[in-house]
Amino acid sequence: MEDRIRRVLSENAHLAVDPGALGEDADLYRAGMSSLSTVNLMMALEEEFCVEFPDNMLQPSTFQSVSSIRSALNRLASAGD
Amino acid sequence: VSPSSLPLWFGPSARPLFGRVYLPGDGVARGGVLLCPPFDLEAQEVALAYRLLAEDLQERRFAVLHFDYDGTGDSAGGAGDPDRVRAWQGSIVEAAKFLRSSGAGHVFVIGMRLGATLAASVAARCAVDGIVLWDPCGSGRSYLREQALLRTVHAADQGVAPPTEPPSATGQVETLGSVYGPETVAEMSRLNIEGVPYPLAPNVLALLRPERRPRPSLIERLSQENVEFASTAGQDELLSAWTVGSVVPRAAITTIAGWLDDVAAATVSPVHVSQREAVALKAPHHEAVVERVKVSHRLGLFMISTEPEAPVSTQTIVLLNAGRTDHTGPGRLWVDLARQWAGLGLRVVRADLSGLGGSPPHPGQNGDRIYPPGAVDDIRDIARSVSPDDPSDVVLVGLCSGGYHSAMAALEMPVAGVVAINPGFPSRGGTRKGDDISAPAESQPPASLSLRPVRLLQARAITTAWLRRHFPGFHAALKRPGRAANELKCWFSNRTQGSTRPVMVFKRLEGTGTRTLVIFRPYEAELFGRGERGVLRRLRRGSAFRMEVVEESDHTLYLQRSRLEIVPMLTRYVLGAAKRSPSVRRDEEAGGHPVAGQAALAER
Repeated sequence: MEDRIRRVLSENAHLAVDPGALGEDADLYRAGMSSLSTVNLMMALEEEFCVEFPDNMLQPSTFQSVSSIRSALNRLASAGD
Repeated sequence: VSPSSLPLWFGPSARPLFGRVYLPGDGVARGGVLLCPPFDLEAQEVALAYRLLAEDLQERRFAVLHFDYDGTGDSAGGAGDPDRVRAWQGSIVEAAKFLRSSGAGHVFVIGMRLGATLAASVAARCAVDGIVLWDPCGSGRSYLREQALLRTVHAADQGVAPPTEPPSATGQVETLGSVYGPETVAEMSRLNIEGVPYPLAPNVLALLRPERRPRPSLIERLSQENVEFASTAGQDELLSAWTVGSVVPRAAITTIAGWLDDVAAATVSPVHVSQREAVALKAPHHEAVVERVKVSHRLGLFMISTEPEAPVSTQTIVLLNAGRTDHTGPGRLWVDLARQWAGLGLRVVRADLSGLGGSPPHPGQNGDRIYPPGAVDDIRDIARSVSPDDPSDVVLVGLCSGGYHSAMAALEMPVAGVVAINPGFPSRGGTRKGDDISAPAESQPPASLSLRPVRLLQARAITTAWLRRHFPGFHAALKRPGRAANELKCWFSNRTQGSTRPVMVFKRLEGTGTRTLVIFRPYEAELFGRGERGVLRRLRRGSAFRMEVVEESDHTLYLQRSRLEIVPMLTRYVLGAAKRSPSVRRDEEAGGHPVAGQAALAER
């Protein structure tokens, strides 16, 4: 899952650094992710993982790091089981 | 602004719509083109791109109408009114009717984002000859989800706490600039292009954003049409950086104009629009007010006045541009305030400085500048035009660059009051880290402010060297980390700016006796006071100066939370500053009502 997240990040987040080189808890906003890139990232993640983030997850904290994204996707997957 | 564009109202007199018409020079057109804008912040970000597109099409002999939907921009109504989606769709139908009744035989429609989705939903009803879907939202629901996320990211960035209840609990959605109630959210959520019956129009151009893969169902639906797909580069740059940094996607404009050139017939017909420059509207509490298009006497600057039936004051409140945002204000706040205050008995004007919104730039200068050269002259011209008997009888209100311009103008001309919200001073050749109030590098300081940055930097370098040599202890203290050292460093740095630094501008203003209200969010209050504690303390002791810090607010006032805090503060100030008109004074002396607006405010 982490590789897929990093690939989506590299295509959509327009970071100032290579997403592959970021630690899993590194702050993506500090790495240069803009508000519009957050929206692009949200939509790309939804398409990649065939999920829809509910309203209460439409928060910057959901998309703040690789680990927070993974955690959100895991929560969605377990809710869907 | 094109010299042959006409601002006007059209549509039902009880619910007029506002627009700007661009006609070919000889009044003969190949057809009419309707520009359906996006919504909320996006509408303001694309305003310049739409204007340039309109001017391009005007040169290709089209009559173009760029209009505001019901409850948006300068049109009547508000975002909180009922039946929004039907009203927006009705606005498109009304605008198409207006173009046809003006003589346009063929009508085309161009919509961007949610404007494209809406335009698609009524294209068949309007019997348009062609439609351009520019980066369309697949659905109203997807638009609301995107905007809700943008809003939360912005709020977090500005240090504003998230709402206690998630949108799903209240049913309402807050975007940047609007709050849509549960009914409107439900209506918008049902809106989608896939569900619109075939055909949309005889010709369709779909410009899709390469950064976002469109839903297969959208491509499938559009493929049923006589459609041409094209990629629209530059949407992220157009829509990503607020109005301050929006970049016009010139390639997309050329693609659209070229496509219309190809599909529109070459036959022409005369087009003539009937111009309505004033309308009667209802203020938020149903008071009757009149809005009128005005042009300043000397420079031809664009303004809209909102006046009550019986003014309680001789004063005029002048609302100025915030950054590159036009006279409607951030998230349409100036329109809402103008109507609300006119309902309380005040005269209000929202104006565009030179080169912004509907105002032409000064001869030989480029438009679209946050700090237009000659802004003080613009404000003087506006004051003389709206209050010819006494140009000093105006209260200037501005946010960010507007706050700065208000203060600078008040130093050069007498005014009744100044309200500066998060005043943004031009940077001296660069931005400070995290300082979102600085002007971008392309902006130049106004002519009235002689900063002489090179000489100042030289002076600072020489002084620093002198300090290091003669007072090494003091110099070392400046270098030491920590709050006190930082304060000392700021104090030292500020002194090199002399009387042009923000706190000194307001100190000089206080010295003139001009009533001034400055409102800051905490971060900007800290910047304002950094290294200035002594001056600020003395300034706050002055009777004419008042400073408020609003804890939960954003710089641009796009968050509802900011508005709920700041609007009552502003309203109290402008009512308190209002000089009573002779008729009201007579009433008071005869034992009648006090200032009607103040009584009305107290009731609310």
